[in-house]
Amino acid sequence: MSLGSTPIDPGLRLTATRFILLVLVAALTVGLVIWFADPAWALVSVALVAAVVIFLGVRRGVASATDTPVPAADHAAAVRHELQSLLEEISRLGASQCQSSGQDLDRVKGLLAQAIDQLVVSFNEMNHHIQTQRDLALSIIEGMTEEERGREGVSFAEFVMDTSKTMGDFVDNTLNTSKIAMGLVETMDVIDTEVQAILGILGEIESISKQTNLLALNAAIEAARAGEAGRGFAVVADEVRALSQRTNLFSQQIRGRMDSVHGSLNSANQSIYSVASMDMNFALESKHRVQTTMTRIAEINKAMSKAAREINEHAGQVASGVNDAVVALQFQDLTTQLINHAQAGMASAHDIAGQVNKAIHQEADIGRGLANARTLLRAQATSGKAQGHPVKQESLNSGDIELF
Amino acid sequence: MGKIVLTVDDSASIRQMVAFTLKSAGYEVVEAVDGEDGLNKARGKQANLVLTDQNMPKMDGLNLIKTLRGLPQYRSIPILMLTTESSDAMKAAGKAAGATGWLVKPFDPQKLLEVVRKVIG
Repeated sequence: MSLGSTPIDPGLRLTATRFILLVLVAALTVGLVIWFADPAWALVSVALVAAVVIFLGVRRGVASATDTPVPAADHAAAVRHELQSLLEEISRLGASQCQSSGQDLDRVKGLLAQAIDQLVVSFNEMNHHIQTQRDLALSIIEGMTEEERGREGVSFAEFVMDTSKTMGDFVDNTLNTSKIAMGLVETMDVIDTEVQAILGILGEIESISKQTNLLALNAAIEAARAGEAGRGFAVVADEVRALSQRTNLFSQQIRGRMDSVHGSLNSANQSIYSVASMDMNFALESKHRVQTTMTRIAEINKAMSKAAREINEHAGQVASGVNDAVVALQFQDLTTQLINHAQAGMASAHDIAGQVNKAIHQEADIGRGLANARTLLRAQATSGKAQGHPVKQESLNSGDIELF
Repeated sequence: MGKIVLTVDDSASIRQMVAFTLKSAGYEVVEAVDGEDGLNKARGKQANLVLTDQNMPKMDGLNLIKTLRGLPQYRSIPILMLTTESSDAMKAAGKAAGATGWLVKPFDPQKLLEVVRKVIG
C-alpha cells in the first residue's frame, strides 16, 4: 500500500508566497543574530536556516520559489494506487457485509421454517379436533330430531311424545275406571232393592205356607171328628201339611242364600264405592305434571339440538378459518424464495465487485482498466435482468389454477 | 386404500400442507424433497397423481415432468405444477413438457382438493 511517501495534503503544500514569507522571516532572524551576536553564531544561524529551507522545499515538493505541479506520471500512479486501495476496501467491506447479512437471512429462514413447522402441526391437530367436535354435534342432532333418526329407529323427540301419550292414556283409563265404578255403585243399589223385594216375596210365601199348615191341621182335626168316614181326608190333610212345611223349608233355604247374596253384594258395593270415591284430582294433577315435564323436556331437547347445530356451524367456520390459515402459512415458501433471491443478488454484487477490482488491476493503464470494468458491469446488469424473479406475488391471495 | 399422490417440493411446509389437505380427504401422500428424490419415489411406488414445484435443487419441476413422461408408467398419469412461477412463458414451457395443469402458489386447500378430484377422482 505504501508508495514511499505519505499522500500530499493540498492544504499543507508550500505555496510560493508562503515560501517567500518563510525566507523573509529566516533572513530577519539571521540579521538580528548578526546584529546582536558573535560572527561565529551568525554563520551557524545562516547554515541552519539554509538547511531548514532546503529540507522543507524538498520535503513538501517545492524545489524553487515558484509553484510548479507534481510530475504527471507520479500523480497517475498515486491515483491508481488510491483507487485500487479503495476498491479493495469496498470489496472487503462488501464481502463482510454480504456474509453477515447472508447469515442473518439464513437465521430468518431457519426461524421461519421452524415456526411454520409448528404452526402446521398445530393447525393439523386443531382441524382434527374440530372434525371430531363436528361429528359429535351431528350425532347429537341425529339422536334428537325426528327427521334424522338414529339407527334404533326411535328419536329422543319420539320417545318424549310416546311417554307423554302413554301417561295421558294411563290417566284417562284411571278416570274412566272411576266413572264405571260410579255406574256400578248405582247398579248395585238397584240389585240390592231387587234382593229386598225377593226377600219380601219369600215372606209372603212363608206366610202362605204357615196358613196352609194351619188349614191342614184344622182339616186333620175335622177328619178325626168325622171318624172312619174322614180317614182318607185325614191322610190328604197330612200330605198338605207336609207340603206346606217343605214349602216353608225351601223358602227359608232361599232366604238363607239370598241373605248370603245380599252380604256379598254389600261387600262388593263397598269395594266399588271405595274405587269410585277415590280422589281423581291426583290423577288429573299427575297428568298435568307429566305434560308439563314432557313439554319442558321437549324444549330442552330443542335447545340442545339448536346448540348442537350451532356447534356444527362454528366447527364449519373454524374449518374455513383453518383453510385460510393454510393459504396464509404458505408465506414461508414465498418469503424463503425471496430471501434466497436476495441472497443470490448479494452474492452476485460481491462477485461483481471482485471482478471489477480484478479488471482494474489487470490493466497497466487505469483508463482501460476502468473501461473494462464498466463493460463487465453492463454485461452483469443485462444477465441479471434476464434471470427474472421466481416470486411475483404481491399478496397471499390464493393463486390461479389452469388445467391444460 | 386411497389413491396415491406424490408431492415434490423443497419447502417442508408446502409438503406438509399438501399432505394435510389431501390426507384429510382420504388420499395417500408420498413426499419428495426435490426433483431427483421425486423421480426415485415415483419409480419406487406408482403414484396416481404427481404434484410438483418448479424451482428446486438438483432437478427442477420441468425436468422432472419431462423425465417422468419418458417413463411408460407415467405417460398418462396426471402431473400438476404447484409453483410461485406465474408467467405465461413458464406455463407454456410446462404445457410443452407434459404438465396436466398449473397451480400458482399459495394454494387454497379446498381448490386443490377440487382439482385433484377432477383429475383423479
